[in-house]
Amino acid sequence: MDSIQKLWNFFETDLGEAPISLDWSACGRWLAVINVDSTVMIVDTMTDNKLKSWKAHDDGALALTWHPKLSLFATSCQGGMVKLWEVEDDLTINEVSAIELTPNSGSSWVELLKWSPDGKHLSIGNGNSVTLSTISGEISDSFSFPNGTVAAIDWHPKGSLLAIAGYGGVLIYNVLEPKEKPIVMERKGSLLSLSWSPDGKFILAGCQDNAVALWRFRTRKDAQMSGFTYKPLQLTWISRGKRLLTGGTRELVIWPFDKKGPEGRDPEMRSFHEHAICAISATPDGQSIASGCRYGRIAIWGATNSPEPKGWAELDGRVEHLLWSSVKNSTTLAASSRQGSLYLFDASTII
Amino acid sequence: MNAKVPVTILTGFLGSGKTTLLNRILSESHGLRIAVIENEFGEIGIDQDMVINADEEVFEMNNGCICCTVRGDLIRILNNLARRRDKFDRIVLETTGLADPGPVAQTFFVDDDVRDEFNLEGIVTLVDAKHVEQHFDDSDEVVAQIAFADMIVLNKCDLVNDEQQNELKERIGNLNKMAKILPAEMANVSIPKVLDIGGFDLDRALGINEAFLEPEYPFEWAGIYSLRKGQNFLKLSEGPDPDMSLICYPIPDQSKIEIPELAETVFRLWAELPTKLDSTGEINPSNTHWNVDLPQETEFRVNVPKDGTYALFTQHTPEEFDLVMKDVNGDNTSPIEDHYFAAGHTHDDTVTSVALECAGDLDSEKLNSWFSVLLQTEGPNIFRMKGILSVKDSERKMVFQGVHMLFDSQPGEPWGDESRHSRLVFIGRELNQDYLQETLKLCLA
Repeated sequence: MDSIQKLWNFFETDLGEAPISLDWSACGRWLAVINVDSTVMIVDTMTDNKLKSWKAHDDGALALTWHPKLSLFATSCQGGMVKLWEVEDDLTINEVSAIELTPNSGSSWVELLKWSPDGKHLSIGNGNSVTLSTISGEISDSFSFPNGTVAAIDWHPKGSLLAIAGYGGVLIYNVLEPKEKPIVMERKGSLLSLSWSPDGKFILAGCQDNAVALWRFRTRKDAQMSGFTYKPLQLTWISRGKRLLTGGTRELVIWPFDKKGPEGRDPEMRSFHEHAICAISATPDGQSIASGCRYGRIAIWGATNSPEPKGWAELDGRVEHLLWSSVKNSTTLAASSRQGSLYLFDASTII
Repeated sequence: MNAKVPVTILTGFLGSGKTTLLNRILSESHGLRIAVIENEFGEIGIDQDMVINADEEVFEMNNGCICCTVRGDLIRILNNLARRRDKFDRIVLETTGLADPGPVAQTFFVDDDVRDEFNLEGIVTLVDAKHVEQHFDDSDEVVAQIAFADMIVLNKCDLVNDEQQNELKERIGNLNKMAKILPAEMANVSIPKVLDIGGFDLDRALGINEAFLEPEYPFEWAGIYSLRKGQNFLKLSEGPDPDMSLICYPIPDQSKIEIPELAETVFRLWAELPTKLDSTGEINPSNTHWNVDLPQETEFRVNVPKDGTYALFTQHTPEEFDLVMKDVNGDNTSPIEDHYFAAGHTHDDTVTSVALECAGDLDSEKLNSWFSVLLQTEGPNIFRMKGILSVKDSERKMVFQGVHMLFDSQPGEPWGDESRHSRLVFIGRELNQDYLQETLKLCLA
């Protein structure tokens, strides 16, 4: 451990409450965080980390996500409300629209927000359905998940297919033909997270029963990756989809998805954390990785030839979020802790 | 890491008074900040900031556990509350009146994040003293809610008399000997008492019910009568069953009358096949195990050979058959002492409590195997289990609790000078106490 460089944050602020969601703007200039009491904080990295904060909802917050191209982001809460916010260069914040959803299956919690890759649609997970909204806040379509509450959403990289996961498996809807019956990929148990591989060939889901379910999209052939001690919710692709990082264990596990896939092949295991990994992020170029554990320690790794971390850092509590800036070749890592602290690290000296 | 947040599950059949109790919990000044997760809007509205509605989303786990269902909505709500834990001191979780508490309780054992942040402190079941009897036979949920409980609030006691209340307590005690029973009117119980149950306090659980470790007998009642030589009479009315077994046992002269000791003697006699007796038959006080037909009210002659004391042991309580003993003059005579037993066959309830004790240290590997086999074979039948184990080479008590096939243990207080012995309690259907006790002993180090 002495040989590994300790990183010190160059920015830290108290969010007041535990963070619920954290995301970088597409341009990499703004970092937005929303905490449990729905206070949004914007950090402007272009103006010496000037801050702007305001209360976005009357109810507790549940999600925040930036538009993939615009200086626009969406927030959601427990009161059935989604709001779209636009950020101007001088940190003026404009509420662009508010979408009020009808309580679905008795639930008004809007737990999931995910933009389509082209940014034309915002998918909104509420109860047992996913609603699509336009940038202007107009609802276009709705897709149901009859088995129960939607737990995860992901878009096919090309944007026309929407995957919805929850109890019992994954449903895949064609948003261009919303009345078409969905493709069904069943799995016993409850699915909690979802990730479509960058090439669109694989669909993966982190499961309640400490496993990762895997389907080949073309053949629908399924498989499972197991051996996790906690729920492996973190599914992060690197090497242009050739390798997959998972959490849920003390080791950072890197699964091979090149050639014929991971079946019958040993994953690479990297040890450093003394407690299970609960947050992972890869830089946009996939060359650097950050992992964080349940007891607050962060490790920075190279994607290849990095059996031990290049650097490490310590937060004041459980690592809630880790996210590299969205700028290509970025060395800025945002991190938040359950204690309500927000940090920015500069990893330029080690990566 | 912070201490885990204690959670109390509040359950009870429709109309049992859950909402009334919940309102009292929220409105009384007990100094605790309580977050409430409620499943249904009762007839009385609740107006508090930290009240969250759940949608009772039960799902099966894909973990090989055949009875393992959990509440997905609770996992989401609790994980969200884990990020606000500075806002409250504890959580009260209300279930619907028709809910099986199993999936709710199992949620605290299955999900890693929930297990890390929350501790299932106890399950409180409200029982409507006036109406619960009618639900015992037609509602599995009522039996399950009682069997799961750490504490039972016997509500609406003002609507029943003392005798009915005692009968009800006895019946509930037969289902769950571990739970403390708190009589109440309008759910007016001490809130700290209800919330501060102490999920792992087995000593309390064992100490509360004196009959806890009393053996289960095939008879429910015994009365000691002082009878004079000659023809006495035992009058029995038509009861819930067409017949009843009994023994009229002469107590030897000079014997000190101790009903528990007599019960052991009579228990051995009861093992003999009964002698059938119709309405014209005579009862001769002896070792004979009688089975009397009771198609209608019948008066049996009891031929007493000499003045003395006689013990009458009956399969059912005297109230069920309007039992009356008449002396040689034909006058009603009361027992000089009587005792009600917690008979296992009462009302054909198959849910019982089983307590095991084992002195000495247990071998951890043998114990793990024992639990593994037990939970695989009996897990679906086990509602609750709790215990304190003495494990070899461990300075501390091992405290465990579980639901169905799920099990959690943690080190407790050091043994110190206390004699090391293990005590376990299981509440479930058709559990074989002798088998469990014998096989547990095989785990001794």
